[in-house]
Amino acid sequence: MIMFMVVYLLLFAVFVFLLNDKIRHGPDDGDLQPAGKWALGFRANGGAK
Amino acid sequence: MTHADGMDVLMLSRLQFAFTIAFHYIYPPLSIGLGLLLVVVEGWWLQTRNPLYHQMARFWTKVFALTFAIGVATGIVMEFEFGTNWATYSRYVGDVFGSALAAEGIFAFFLESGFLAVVLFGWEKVGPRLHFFATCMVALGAHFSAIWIVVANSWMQTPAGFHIVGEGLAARAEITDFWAMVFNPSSMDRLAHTLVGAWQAGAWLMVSVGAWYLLHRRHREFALASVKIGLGVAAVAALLSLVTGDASARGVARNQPAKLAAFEGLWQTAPQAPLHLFGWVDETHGCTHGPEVTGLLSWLAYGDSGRPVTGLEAIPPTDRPPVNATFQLFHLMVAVGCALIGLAGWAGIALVAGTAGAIAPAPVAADLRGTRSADCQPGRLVGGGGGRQPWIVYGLLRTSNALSPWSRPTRWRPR
Repeated sequence: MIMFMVVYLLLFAVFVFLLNDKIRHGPDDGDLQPAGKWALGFRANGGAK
Repeated sequence: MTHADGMDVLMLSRLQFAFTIAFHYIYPPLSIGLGLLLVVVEGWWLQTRNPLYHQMARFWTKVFALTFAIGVATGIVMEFEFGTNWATYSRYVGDVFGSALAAEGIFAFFLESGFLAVVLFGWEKVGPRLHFFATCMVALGAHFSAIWIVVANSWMQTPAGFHIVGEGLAARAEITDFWAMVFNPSSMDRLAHTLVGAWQAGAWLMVSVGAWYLLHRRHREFALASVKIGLGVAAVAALLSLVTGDASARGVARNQPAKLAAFEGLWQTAPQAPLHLFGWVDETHGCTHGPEVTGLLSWLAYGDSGRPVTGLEAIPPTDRPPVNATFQLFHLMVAVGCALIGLAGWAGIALVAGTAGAIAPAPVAADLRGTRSADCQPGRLVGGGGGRQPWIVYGLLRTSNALSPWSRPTRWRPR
């Protein structure tokens, strides 16, 4: 029973750590401009409106 | 249930399952809600080509993947518990749940997890429209998953479309009408309430993260867009929760009178049944203390304040659920739901006001309260399941008879 609780606590800690890390890191600025063939379509459409 | 020399296996099994499913149930609603929001954000990017929405879609896809992964990991444990702790129950419902859970695996989980690979790793490798299609399939898979699980759970509340084969420990339910099983009396009401609750959970997570960025003066454009989109979905879903919750409660009044009586701490069967706003149930003396509105429960349940509502005294004590726990969890769920409607309204007004100063209080509140929407989900789950007690399948199989045969006589002693 103790091991069961420990495993769940560890799993929850991993979730909180990864979510916190992702939120603190924030969105990548590089994601503002699509790359690869998406960029071709993006430019063809005239970029951001 | 409990004994001076320790807890019995039944209570331990119930505690373990309650803990496991409450923990698991934090994640699927977030996945369902975020899945819908990913469709909105990516669709909006395809429509406007505004790179901000592309950035949002990529960020929230990563958060979605995290909730999905933890949801899968925590869900697997329950499958094992069905076998180790609840073998009699598994045998009893196996022929009914088999088809629903197989449909969940094939039509929902495979759909969701297969297309998730395209969504996660397909950026710039597949075309934008194909990627959007994959995002839609992921969201659809998450919703389908909810459909089949809620159908199975609703069958436990209001069994339909079956007959019983065998007797005693060998008894089991077999489907006689698949669609009657799917559309059992409570499944659609409960499904609607579950889905709008899940949309709220995902939307409030998006609002909360956007609010945190606004408070820390980071990624302002991204944060404002997250708050606006999340708040729009949260506000609509919060209002829909009222409608679907009301429909679900009317269904409980029709199909599970003991559960409704426990929800409201109602003891006497009488016209003008009162609704307690909050309170404390004294199960020993059979009364409920707290402010009440006379006739409101009759009106909410039947649309007629003069109509009697069945009280707990009309139900044999052995067939009553644990009243105070069910009462408190149900009222907590309603209170959180109402608070989220108020929060959505407040934040919406602040956003429409438009100045940074006006917006500031809303994100603070959202940051503090927003993710409580996800916390509300286990409350909803435990309240609903607790009200079904002492039955694991309502009116057919008692929870105490659903344990694995080997575990029944065993008594656990704390060290």
